[in-house]
Amino acid sequence: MKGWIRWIWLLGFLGWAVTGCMRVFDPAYLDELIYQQLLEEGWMHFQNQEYDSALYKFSRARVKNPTAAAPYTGLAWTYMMMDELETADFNFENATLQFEVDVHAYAGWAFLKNALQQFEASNIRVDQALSLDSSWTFPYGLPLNVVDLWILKAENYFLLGDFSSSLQMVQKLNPDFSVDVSTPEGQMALAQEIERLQSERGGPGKRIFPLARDPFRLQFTDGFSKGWK
Amino acid sequence: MQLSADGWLTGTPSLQDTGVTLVELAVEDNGIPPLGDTLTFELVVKIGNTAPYFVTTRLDTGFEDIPYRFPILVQDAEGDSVTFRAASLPRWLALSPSGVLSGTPSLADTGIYVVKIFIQDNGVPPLSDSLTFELVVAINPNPPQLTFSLLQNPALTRHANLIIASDVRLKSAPDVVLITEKDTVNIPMIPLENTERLYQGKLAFSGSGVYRLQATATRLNGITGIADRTFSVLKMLPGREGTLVDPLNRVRLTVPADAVAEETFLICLPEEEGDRLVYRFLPHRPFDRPLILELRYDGEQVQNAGKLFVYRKIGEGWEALPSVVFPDRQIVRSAVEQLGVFRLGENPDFAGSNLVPTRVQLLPNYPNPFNPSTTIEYHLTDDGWVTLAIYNGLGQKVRTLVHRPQLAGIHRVEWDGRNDRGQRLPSGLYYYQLRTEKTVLTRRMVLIR
Repeated sequence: MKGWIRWIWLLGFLGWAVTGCMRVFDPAYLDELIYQQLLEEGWMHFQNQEYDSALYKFSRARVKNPTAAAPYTGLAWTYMMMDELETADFNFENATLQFEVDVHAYAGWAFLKNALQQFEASNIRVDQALSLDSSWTFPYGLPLNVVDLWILKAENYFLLGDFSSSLQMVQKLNPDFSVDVSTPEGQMALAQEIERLQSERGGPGKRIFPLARDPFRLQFTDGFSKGWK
Repeated sequence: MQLSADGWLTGTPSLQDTGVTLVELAVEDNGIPPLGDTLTFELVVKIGNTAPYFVTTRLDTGFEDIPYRFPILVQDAEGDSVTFRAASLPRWLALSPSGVLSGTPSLADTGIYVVKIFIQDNGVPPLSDSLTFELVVAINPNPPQLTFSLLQNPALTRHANLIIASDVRLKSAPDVVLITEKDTVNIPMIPLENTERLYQGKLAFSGSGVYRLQATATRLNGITGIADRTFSVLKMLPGREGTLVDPLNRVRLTVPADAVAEETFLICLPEEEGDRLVYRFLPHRPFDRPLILELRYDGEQVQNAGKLFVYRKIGEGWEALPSVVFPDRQIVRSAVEQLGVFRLGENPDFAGSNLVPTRVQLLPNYPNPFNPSTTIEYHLTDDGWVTLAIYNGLGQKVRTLVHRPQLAGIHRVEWDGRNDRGQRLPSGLYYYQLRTEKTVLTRRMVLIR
């Protein structure tokens, strides 16, 4: 009787081992593992400013999974940081053409379209990003979040000459701000308020500073403050 | 109306009582026999009415391309409402029913106009008046006033949109150049839609330095003006320390290595706010390490340097940041974790002093003896490496409270009576020692369990 039980255990173990090995050697499963790892490494390089390495990893990830959006998103953000705006534009477009939806592609594309002076397109991307994630935060180093998208939208509307919509966006961040945007003076004040919000705003997603309780606790190199030059 | 016994007719007629009334009065004496007489009067009750008149006697001068708005003031003794009418007005000028002249004259409209205004009240009968004014529309001799707004892209900090607003319409988009120490770059400006006075352009920063935006704009009347906005830019690279000094050399921002995780263009824009200077820093983002902000002050204009603070703008107000004043260099220093808008200010209500200590001191801890915790205060005269450690009665180090670079100033550290492993230490005599690059100071304290 004990012998039978031992055989059953042995067969069960062999079955488990064979299934596991089959999965390990399954090319699709392996590709998926490698793809995920490449993406992670790509973003790690992105955060470390190693843009060439990031591009290499994201490109390899794209080869592994040509229909996924994430590698294109990584490529686009990397090209954007390298100030290769046209190439970044192309890759953002590719990212959004894939079946998979990636909020970081739309958010990044919104910032890029603003830099390319395509303000209407930028606002469309802002809306798409916000519809996917209304509390969007960029997780890969750059301290960007939904407030940046709101201010960007206010700026885009302003630059399109749609001052009423721009004012509405500004009032999301500063409900007390009110001007008559039909007058040149009101429009001027609105421009200055957008500029002010860029440098003074708070809002959600603010990164908590770990050393805030001791502002004088500081790592610095020798001679960092030896008077004015 | 009433008639008193001694013959007084009294009363106050209302509007409905206006008109002509026949009043018959009879008198009789007390003789024997009494004799009398009667008389019929015609009593006319009229509506009180005086003509309205002009309080305004002359009109302001108008300027081409500047909106003209002038309310004409009139008075009516009865408080009747008054309607306005003009005999002839230039095509650019309108008169509202309430008597406000408004419109925007163009350059072609300059000259002298004769404007005749009629007013009429609503009394019975209506009364009127008229006055002839002379309206002068002159060429505006002022150059256009330009306002700059710089909108930095938060993701691509190298790029920014520039908005220039003019107080008057311009002949064409302003000519804008971006001047740096190395070169001068033209910034094409295009008019914004739905407005006549706003223009937009694009900037891309090349590196660190002082940038000057210079705009030349011409009004419709041909008068040209030049305006500029100067700011500093620091191109920060990860792992490298950087210093951003404003164009006026009044403020300095030291960015330690590793404060940014990516290439970032920091901008410092000095601005006048009322009668004081404020410094706007971009972009608005938290940093991985605190930045050191130093603002210069003029010793002759400060009453008490010990009460100086660096202030940060919070909404509509200002918040004082922990600050240290270096009177020998005339600077106030503060550590900031986020950029924004800063200024220098004196707080006369501040009871303490922000002056940097004149000598390194290790003060008695308080309370002493203590349980469960005590506070140790020390003063540093210079920035530098600092170690604050606790030793037991046998001279063995039991706890390191501070072991890192610190800024000059007053520092306080709390000790909870535990060693480095978090274990509660027994009652007894302990020593705390402050070690700086030049000084070693030691004091005693007693822990009671």
